Amino acid sequence: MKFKITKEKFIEGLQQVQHVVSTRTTLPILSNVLIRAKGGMVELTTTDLDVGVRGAVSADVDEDGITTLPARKLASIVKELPTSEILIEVNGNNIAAIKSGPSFFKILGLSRDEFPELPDFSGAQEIVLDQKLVKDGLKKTFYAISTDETRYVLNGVNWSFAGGKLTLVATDGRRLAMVDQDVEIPDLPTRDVIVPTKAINELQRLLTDAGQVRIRIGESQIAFELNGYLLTSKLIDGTFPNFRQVIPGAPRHRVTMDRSLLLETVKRVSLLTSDRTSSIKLVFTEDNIEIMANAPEVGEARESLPVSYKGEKMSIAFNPEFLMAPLRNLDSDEVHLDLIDEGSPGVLRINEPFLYVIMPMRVTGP
Amino acid sequence: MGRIRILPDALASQVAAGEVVDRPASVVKELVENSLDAGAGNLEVIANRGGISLIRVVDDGSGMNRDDALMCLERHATSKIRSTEDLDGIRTLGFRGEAIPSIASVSRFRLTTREKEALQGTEVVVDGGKLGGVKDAGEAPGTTVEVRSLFYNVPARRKFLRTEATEFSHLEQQVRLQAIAHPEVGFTLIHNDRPHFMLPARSHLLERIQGLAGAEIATRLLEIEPDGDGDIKVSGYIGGFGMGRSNRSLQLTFLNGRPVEAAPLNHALREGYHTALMKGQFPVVFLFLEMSPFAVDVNVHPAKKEVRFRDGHAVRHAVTAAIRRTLTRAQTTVPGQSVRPMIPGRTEIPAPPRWHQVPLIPEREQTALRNDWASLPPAPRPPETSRNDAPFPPPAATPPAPLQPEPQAEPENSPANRPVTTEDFRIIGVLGKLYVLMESAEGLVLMDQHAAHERILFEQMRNRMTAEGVPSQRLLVPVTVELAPREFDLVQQNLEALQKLGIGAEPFGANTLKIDSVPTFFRNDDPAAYMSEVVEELKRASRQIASIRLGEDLVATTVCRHAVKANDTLRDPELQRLLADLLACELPYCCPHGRPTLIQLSYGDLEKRFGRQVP
Repeated sequence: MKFKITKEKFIEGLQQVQHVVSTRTTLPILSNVLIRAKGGMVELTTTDLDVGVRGAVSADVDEDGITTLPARKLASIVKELPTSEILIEVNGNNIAAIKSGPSFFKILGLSRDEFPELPDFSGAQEIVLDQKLVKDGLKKTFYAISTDETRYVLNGVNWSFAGGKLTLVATDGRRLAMVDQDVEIPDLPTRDVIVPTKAINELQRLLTDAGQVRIRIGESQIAFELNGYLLTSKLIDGTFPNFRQVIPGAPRHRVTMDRSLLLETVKRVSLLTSDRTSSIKLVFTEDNIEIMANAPEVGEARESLPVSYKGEKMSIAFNPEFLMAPLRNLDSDEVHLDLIDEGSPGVLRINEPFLYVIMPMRVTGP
Repeated sequence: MGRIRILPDALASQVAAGEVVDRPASVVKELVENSLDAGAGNLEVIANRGGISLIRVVDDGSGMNRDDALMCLERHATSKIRSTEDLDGIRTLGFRGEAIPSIASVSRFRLTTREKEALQGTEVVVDGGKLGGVKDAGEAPGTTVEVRSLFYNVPARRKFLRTEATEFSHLEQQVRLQAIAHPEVGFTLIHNDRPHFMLPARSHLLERIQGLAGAEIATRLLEIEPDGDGDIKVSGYIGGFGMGRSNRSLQLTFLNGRPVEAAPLNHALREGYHTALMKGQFPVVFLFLEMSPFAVDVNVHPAKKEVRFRDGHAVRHAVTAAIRRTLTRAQTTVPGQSVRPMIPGRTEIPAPPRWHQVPLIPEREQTALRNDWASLPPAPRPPETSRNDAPFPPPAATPPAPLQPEPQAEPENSPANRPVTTEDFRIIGVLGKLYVLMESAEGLVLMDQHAAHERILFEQMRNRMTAEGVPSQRLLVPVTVELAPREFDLVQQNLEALQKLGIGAEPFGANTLKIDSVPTFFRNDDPAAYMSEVVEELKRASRQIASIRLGEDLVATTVCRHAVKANDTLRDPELQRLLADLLACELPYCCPHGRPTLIQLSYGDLEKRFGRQVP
C-alpha cells in the first residue's frame, strides 16, 4: 500500500474517526484505525465494537492496500509533520513508513484480519431526514441523557418515527427533554429505537446544517450515512419509559421569560448554592419572580425578574443545573414556564416543537 | 408390638448430654454455674489432661443433704424452679435439671456434699449413668463434683474431642468468662496439678478482664458511664476508638451474670461503635446488662448461650446509648486515673516537659497502674444473703444473681475531669505534609490532617442535614420496589424517617413501595438499588437513630473529596484551627471511615523503644 496525501485532508479524516477509539481496551486492534487505500480515496474506519465510524478522504493512491495503524499515535504524528505533503507506504508486515519533508516515522501496525467488520445493513429499514432537523433536535435533548449506568435504557436518546413525526426524547428520571417534529417520512411500521450516548456524540460531531442523513435501522444496529461518513451503532436493548405519561396536563400558570435573561439570572443566583445538591427557589408574586438561593455559612442571593403573572403567590424549588441545561441549548428568545403547583412538575416550552419537563425539589425542614 | 419405645433413662440422659455437654469446657460451665447458684464464695476448678481425664469443681456453697444429693441425679430434677411462673422470671443460672444427670451418664461421676450445719456429708458415685453407691462422708461444707473419663462410654463423642491443649484452652476460657461474670467469687484453676491462676474473691473486674484479654487491652478499656435509672442497667468496660478486632472473641456480653449472645446486642454494639471502628471490625466489649428476669427468656438454647428479649428495641437502645455516652465522654474529659491512650492524662509534671528531660520524668501513675492492680479501687462486697441459705433455695428467696461489682466511680467533678483543649497540645510541625506532630503532656501525638479534616467536615455536613433536612428531588416516573415482607414492614414503620432523608416512599400494593422522590445527592443511583441499601441500613440501625444515618455513607464519601489531602501544605494558623475544630467534634478520634485521626506515642512507649525502660 502506498499513497500520497495532504496533511490537512489526513487530519480532517482522522479527527472525525479517532473519537470512537477507546483509550482503554484489552483488545489492541481496537486502538487502531483501519486504512484502506483504493481508487483515489483513503478510507478510515474505527470501532469500539459498539460504535463504528467510517470516512474517506481523497489521496494519490499509487498502490492499493489495507492495514491498521494505532489511531491516536498516527493522528498526533500527522498533526506535527513539517510539510503539507505526506507519503505513506505500508509493507506486508503492516509496518508503515511516513515521510514528510525531512522527517521520517516508522510505526508498527496490526493485520487487518483482526479488525472487526462494521455491521451489515442490507435489508434494513431506511429513513432519510434533513441533517439540520436532526442536529437541532439532538441539541435540544442530548443534555438530559442519564449517566447512571444502572438504568441503561436511559443512557441514550429515544428515536420514534411514528405518525409522521420524528420524536427525540432523553431523560435521566428527574427531567425530560423532548422534540416532536413533523417530518416527511414514508408511513412505515417503525419501532422506537434507543441510540446510546456515544453514538449521539459522534453523530452530533458529523451533522451539519445542510444536506441529508440516511438512517438505516437493523435488528440491533443503526447506521447513519451523511457527508461521506458512515456511523454505525448498537441500539440499547430495552424499552424506554413511557414518556408521554409524564408530560403534565393543562398548566394553571404560564409565565413567559427572556431565555438568556433567565439563564443569566439562574447562573448568578446559583453561585450561592453550597454544592450540587442544593436548590434554587422561584417565588412567584404578581408580575414578578424572585429567584433565590442560600448556602449555609456562606450567604444568600436573590434576583427579581419582571414577568406577567397574575396567580396567587407560589414558590417552587428546582435544581439549578436542570433549569439551566435547556436554556443553554435552546436558541429561541423566549421561553414559557408552565406550572401547576409547587409539588407538580414544571414544563419549559418554546414556540417550536420542544418541551422539557422538570421535577421540583422539596426541602424537608427539621 | 409397635416399633416406638420409651428410651431407658440412661440413654435419654446421654441424648440430653449431647445438647448440654459436648466437651470438658461445657461440663465446667454447668458445674460452675451450679456452684454459683448454690451461693459459692470461692470456687476451685481442677482439671487433668485438658479436663478429659478429670474435672473437679469444689465450692463452698450451700451443699445438699442426702436426699437432695440423690435427687439431683434424676432427670428434670431441680431446686431452681417449681412452677411455670418461675420459668418466666429465672434468676438462677440453671433451671433445666438436666446437667447433672447428663454429665453423670457420660462419665465416672462422684459427688460429695455437706450442708454447713450438717454433721456429715454424703458421697454419691455414678458410673456411666448407673448409681454405684451412696455413703456418708466427711467433707468440708459445700459441694465437690468430680467427673472422670468424660465420654468413656460414648466413643463417638470422645472422637470429637481435640487435643488436651485445645480442650484446656476452651476450659480456661470458660472459667475466665465465669470469673468475669462473677467478680465477687474467688476462682482458682488448677491444671495437671499446677495452679494455673488464682483470682481472690472480690477482686476487681478489670483484673479478671486482664486475665482473659491481656494487660495491653485491659489497660486501655473505658468504663461504661452509668446511666442513672432505667429498667435496663448497662455497665462494664469497653474499648475506645479504633480498638477493633477482626472477630467477636472479645465481644463479651453478660446478662444478669450469665454470658450470653443475642442478635439485638450485636446490632446495638455495631450501632454504638458506628464510625468509631473501621468497617468489618468488632469492638472489645465487656458489657453487663442487668434487667428484670421477667423481661428476658433464657429458655431458648439448651446451653443458654442465646437469650431472647421481650423488648429488643429497648435493650438495643440502652446498650447503644451507653456505648455512645462512654465514647463521647472519653474524648471530652480528661479522666483522672484510667489510662486512655489518646488523652493527655494528669501527670506529675506541671509543664510540658522538654525532650531532654524525658529520662528525668518520674514514674507516671499510668505505668504504676499497669503493673499494680492493687491500686484499683476495691470491689464492694457482693450481697451475702444467698451465701448460707438453704440448699438450692427457691428462686423467690434468691436475690438477683449478683453481678459485677459497680466499681467505685471517680468523683465526677474531680479537677482532672476537664475537656481536652488545644492547650493540651503544642504543634511541633508537620511530617511528610500529612502528619501533624504535637507534643502533649503524655508524649508525642500525631494527627492525620486528612482524616481530621474529614471528621470535621463530616460532622458539619451531618449536623446541617439534621438541622435543615435533606433536599429531595422528585422523580419523573415513580419507581416501584418490591421487598420481602419483613423488609416491607420495616420500611413502612420508618416512612417518616425516610421522608426526612429525602426519600418519598409510600406503600403501593402488597410488599411494594412506590418511590417518588430521592435525596439529591443520590442523583445517579438507581432508586431500586438504593432502596435495598436503605433497607439494609434500616435493619442495622435501631429505630431511634435511623433517619440521618442512612445518608452517612454518602456524606463520608463526599467530605472525603473536600477534605485537605496529604501534601497540602497547612500553615500554622490552619493547623491550630484544624486541631481546635477536631477537638470540638462529637467523635474526634476517628475519621468517618473509622480510621484514627490521632495517634499517641507516649513517653512510656518512647522509653521502651530507647531501652530506657524495660518493657
